[in-house]
Amino acid sequence: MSGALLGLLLLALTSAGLIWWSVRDRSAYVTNYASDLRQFRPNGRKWMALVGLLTMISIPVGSSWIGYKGFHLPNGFLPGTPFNDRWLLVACIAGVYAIAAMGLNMLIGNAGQISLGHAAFVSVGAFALGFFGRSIATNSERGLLHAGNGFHGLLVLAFSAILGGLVAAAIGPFALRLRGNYLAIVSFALVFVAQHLVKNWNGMTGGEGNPRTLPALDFTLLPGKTVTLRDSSGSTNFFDTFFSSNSSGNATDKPGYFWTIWIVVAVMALFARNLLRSRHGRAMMAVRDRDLSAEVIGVRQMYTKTWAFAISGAYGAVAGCLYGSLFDHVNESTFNLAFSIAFVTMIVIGGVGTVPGSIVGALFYVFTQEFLLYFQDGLQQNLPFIQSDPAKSGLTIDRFTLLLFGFLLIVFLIRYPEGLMGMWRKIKRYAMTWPLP
Amino acid sequence: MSNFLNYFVNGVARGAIYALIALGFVIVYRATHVLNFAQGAIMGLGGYLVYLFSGPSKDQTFASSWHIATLPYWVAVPIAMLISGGVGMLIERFIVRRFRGRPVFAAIMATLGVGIILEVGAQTVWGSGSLPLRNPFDGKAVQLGLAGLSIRRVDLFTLLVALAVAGGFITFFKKTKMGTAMRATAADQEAAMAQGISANLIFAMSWGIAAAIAALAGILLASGPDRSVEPAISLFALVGFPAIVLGGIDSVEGALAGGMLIGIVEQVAAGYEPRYASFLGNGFFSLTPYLLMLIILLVRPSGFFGTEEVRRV
Repeated sequence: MSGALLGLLLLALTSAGLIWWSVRDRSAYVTNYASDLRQFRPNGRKWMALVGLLTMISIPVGSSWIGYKGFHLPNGFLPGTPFNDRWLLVACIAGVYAIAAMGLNMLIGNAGQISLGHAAFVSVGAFALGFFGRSIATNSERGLLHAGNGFHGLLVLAFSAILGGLVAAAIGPFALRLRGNYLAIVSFALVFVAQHLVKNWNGMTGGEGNPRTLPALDFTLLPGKTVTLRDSSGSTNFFDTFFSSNSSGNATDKPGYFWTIWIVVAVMALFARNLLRSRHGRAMMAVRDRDLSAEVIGVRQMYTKTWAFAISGAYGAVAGCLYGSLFDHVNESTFNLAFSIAFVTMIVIGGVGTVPGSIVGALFYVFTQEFLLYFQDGLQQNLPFIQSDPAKSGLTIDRFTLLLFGFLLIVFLIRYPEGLMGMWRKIKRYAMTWPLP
Repeated sequence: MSNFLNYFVNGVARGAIYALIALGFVIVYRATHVLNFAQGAIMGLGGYLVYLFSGPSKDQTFASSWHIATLPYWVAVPIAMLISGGVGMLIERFIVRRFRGRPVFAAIMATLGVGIILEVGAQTVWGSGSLPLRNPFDGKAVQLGLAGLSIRRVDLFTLLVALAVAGGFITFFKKTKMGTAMRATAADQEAAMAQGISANLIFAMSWGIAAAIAALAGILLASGPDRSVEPAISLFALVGFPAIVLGGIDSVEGALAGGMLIGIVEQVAAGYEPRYASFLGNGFFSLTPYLLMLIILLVRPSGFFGTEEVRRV
């Protein structure tokens, strides 16, 4: 126990030191073009990446270790729930949301096109998984037209990205003619169309009240060893061969999910960051700042806006694919307007127009929500005004969460329009000029 | 034919409510150039406030929720509208005002946040179940002379109220000094301020009037023999968007006409859908306003009555 605590303490100290060192580092100022193009600016970013990687490793390892030890939080205010792989699943969900939020952030923050219809693109991904993924017997029994077409997980991800991109690109013509308020209206009309399709396209989605079972993403490479992104039917995950917790009692964690999803997050984030530095990214930002001026200097509006929507849709669809693979059932109420608004809340809190902002926002959103849910029982026991029946009046945890995020949305928009990333930038500036003011 | 007329009459009754909703959007938009995504929550709030002052219906099958008085419906409705108008003014004063001159996105998100807080707050106070209002309307229908054509009392009342409110607002808007000031501020804010008009007062007024009208729409949606105050009322506000797009986002007459048209199209589609278009799926009629809106946006982005957006190069 004490050894592990010492390890955690060392990790925290090392991370803090590395962060301090990296923000104090002034070699970020570039002097020539080649160094400007580098993926990791000398020293600073490299150490930040290392800290990120260490954190990534420590989460599943620590989680499985805690689960293995059967570590219980003290009774009383916190109910005696085993601290097991719940947080690993939460981290997975945060990763999925981060991917979708990155797509939306590029669209809203970098291309300046307001969209409240992101849930529609996410639903496209989920049902693309149903169409392309490995089949499940019960689907064909229930008379579904497309009971999975048996593609490999990576191919399914690619196909769903393409499909989501195509669907989103259909908004392009609208985006060319409309801006601001009108575009917001059109994009949320999309959510209703998508919900109607989910309810009524029985062959694809299973129909209302009878959602189809989505297949899991199947990453099997070698025959004989099934590797899927879901804890079902004794399949083992590829990464679990490296990070398996010998599960005894409560510990049934699957760090493999975490790795699979967060590797996808890392790849998508890297792609987004480099896209924003490319010709297309700069074109998007030119259109955002003033589309008429952009057109005058030779940026094709139609092309740029359509691409912005397509990329955002592709990100949303990939997230939907992973989401559908984690939870085997999705229905029309999963992808409602509130789902779209949740993504916008994430990017506003994280930081509009920045790639890390989407990830930070998604982590903040999901973990805040899940912490509140986790402490639900304890809060209900100790605070009399918190109750559990949603039909009755009174504050439930769900309502409290919604109120909190509505409040945070307004506060961030008024006081911190650059989000958490803006705060981080301020801290960094302070550290860089320290001890000078 | 009589089927069609019945659907049409239903559509007119529903359209009257949509017209009120659209009117609320347009008043806010003209003044502050913000789409008020909190309007649905304000509609719900109106219904809950009537419940607060008039108490539950005599039907004892429903559990009662918090209410402080059992005033008659006709007294409770104006009180609820007044309080909702006050809430609208507060929203303008403390939140929307801070977003003047900021990007559209920020203002839209802020109203969304306000909407979430109002809606969830109302659910926290009154619960998320259905609360039937104690209202004077029963299920009786009024015969309209033509063979087999009838309109329910509550629908007739809705129509008359909507006409009165629309007429009253247009008169206020066109004839009175305050209405002229509102139009002047919308046309040119600086010139209006140079004439001694307080733009801040106009903005707050606009938000107050719009919120009161929205609350009335919510109350009308909740009144009637088989209706009740419930969280789903706020979803009706979203149908106001197609209405304002149809009529033009900044045109009062356009909003009224658009709302009426959307209501008629929706109800006629709802009437004929089971027989002729069942392959489109259940509840397709609820999509027709949005599809109509998409077509209009491609053909005529500024709507039928709206002013075309002029952009300086």
